[in-house]
Amino acid sequence: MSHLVDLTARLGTLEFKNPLLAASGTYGYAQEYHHLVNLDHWGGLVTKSVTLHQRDGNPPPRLVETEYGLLNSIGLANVGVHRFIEEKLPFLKTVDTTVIVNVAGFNLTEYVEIVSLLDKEDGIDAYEINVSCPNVDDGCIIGSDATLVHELISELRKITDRPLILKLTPNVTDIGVIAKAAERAGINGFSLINTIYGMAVNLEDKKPMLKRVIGGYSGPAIKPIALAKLWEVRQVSSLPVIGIGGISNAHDVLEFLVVGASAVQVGTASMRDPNIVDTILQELIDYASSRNIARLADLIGTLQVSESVLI
Amino acid sequence: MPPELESGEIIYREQVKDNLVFLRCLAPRIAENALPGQFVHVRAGSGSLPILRRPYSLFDVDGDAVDLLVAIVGRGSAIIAASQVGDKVDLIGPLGNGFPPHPPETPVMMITGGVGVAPMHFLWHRWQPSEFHGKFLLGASTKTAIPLPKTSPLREIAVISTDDGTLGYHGTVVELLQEMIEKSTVTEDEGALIYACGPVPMIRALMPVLIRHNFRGLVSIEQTMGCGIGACQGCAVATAKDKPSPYLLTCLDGPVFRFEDLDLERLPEHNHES
Repeated sequence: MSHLVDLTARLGTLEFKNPLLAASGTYGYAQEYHHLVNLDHWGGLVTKSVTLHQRDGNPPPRLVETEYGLLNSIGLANVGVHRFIEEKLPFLKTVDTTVIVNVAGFNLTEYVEIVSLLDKEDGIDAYEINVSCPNVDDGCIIGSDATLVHELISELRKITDRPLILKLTPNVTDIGVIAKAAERAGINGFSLINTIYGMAVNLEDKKPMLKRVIGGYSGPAIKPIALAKLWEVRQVSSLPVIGIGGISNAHDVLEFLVVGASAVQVGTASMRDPNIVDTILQELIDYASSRNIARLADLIGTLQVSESVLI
Repeated sequence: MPPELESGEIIYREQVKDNLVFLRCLAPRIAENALPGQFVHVRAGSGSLPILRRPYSLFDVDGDAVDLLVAIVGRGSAIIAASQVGDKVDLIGPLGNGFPPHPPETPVMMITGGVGVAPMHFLWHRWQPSEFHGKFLLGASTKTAIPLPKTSPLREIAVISTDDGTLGYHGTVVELLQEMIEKSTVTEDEGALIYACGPVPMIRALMPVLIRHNFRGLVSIEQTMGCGIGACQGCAVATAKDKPSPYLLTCLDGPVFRFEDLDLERLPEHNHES
């Protein structure tokens, strides 16, 4: 895709050809989409969470569409790190983009083991550490405890030189405390937000719509929450952030950049428009061209807040 | 064949009844490769809501066009059903496994309820009349709810049941099947294969009949679906106890399954649409 606007994005040493990344979960291992879209156009691909062992996932129903969002209870269904390396990574290496592997463990040892195995492989540019899956027992325990986060990131920092990105959950009292703990342990950046706890009820039989009652809420409804969490993290840390939450068009992307995200991830919206990367890139180029913006990254953190209203 | 993203154009629309619309959509790339039992994943509108596409089993393929039967059950289906001739509709397809090749000597009993008629209609239409040994049973709530467009030849051929008895057999389509078996209209040989598609209670009610008469069967199911291509894992259904994997994906492993592969009691019943 040739254009006059510089779309490149940066997260420390990590470079992206544009700020649009496919979020973990909805895009599988990307191969699923390769018949439908040109995956090379993505600034980056974040894989479905990879756990130590293969996981079958949660009992259905796993998806409920609500008026403005989507509830999911997938439960980290994935092939496990060994099959990921054997079956999924070879394809990802053929895509001309930045590849981030999302890693999820059930204790510190598992995270260390997964990252150690992945670190022997080529074709991985960074790790996104998932400490906040809302859909498994104890899934949020690490992600909502600053001490555990510090311990985990410190251990992972010792075993890999690749960039580590911590995916932050909004389901905590103070997201800044978690971010600071990770920063002290040597994290390279953050991605935020993971899904928000949510539920829906079927009034016909008075049963929860999701088998596991509570799931992770995503989609357009959560964008304002994600922007607020990004702003909160921006107040306590200058590390780069990838914004996530309800992004479905260029306007949404630009909001995240202005509040201070260096790049963004698109998740739920990909299910409606698998080729959303091309749609949004064109919108971004049109926006920047019409306003003589030569470098999209110049917009990062340009939010104008009057001092008097700062809390 | 791999699925395609195709912008189809509506070339015919028929309001079958108040909450049911028949759409013929010009989509040559999908039409060329589609098999009976496969589905298309249809985007509802061009904005960011509703979030999910809606899956529709193909009712038929007519040259370069695919036929859809759209029951209005929520916001997304209402948007799709409101499409007018000339409108564009964003489709992904063909998706799913479809029906396996049918052994020509084996008679097939097609049991359908409501819009579950769609995949079976396509399959039935693909077969030459000489290849179709069996019966097409079509259940509806009432006479005015027969889910077929005006032109469908199936109107003349289907054995119809209505819950209120206003047309055909008075009762459910499963009760109709049982009566046909008892009256030997269907011998056990003849009913050796059951192909079914309809509401979950209908599918569950069929299971004891299959077991009692030792019928084998295939069932096409509908579930809330995310990506439609196996990436999001959202449309998983539970498998029967002895199966190697506890879940199968409706979009990739289905939507057509062998009856014995699924745990029908755990099949989600409410295909909720926001």
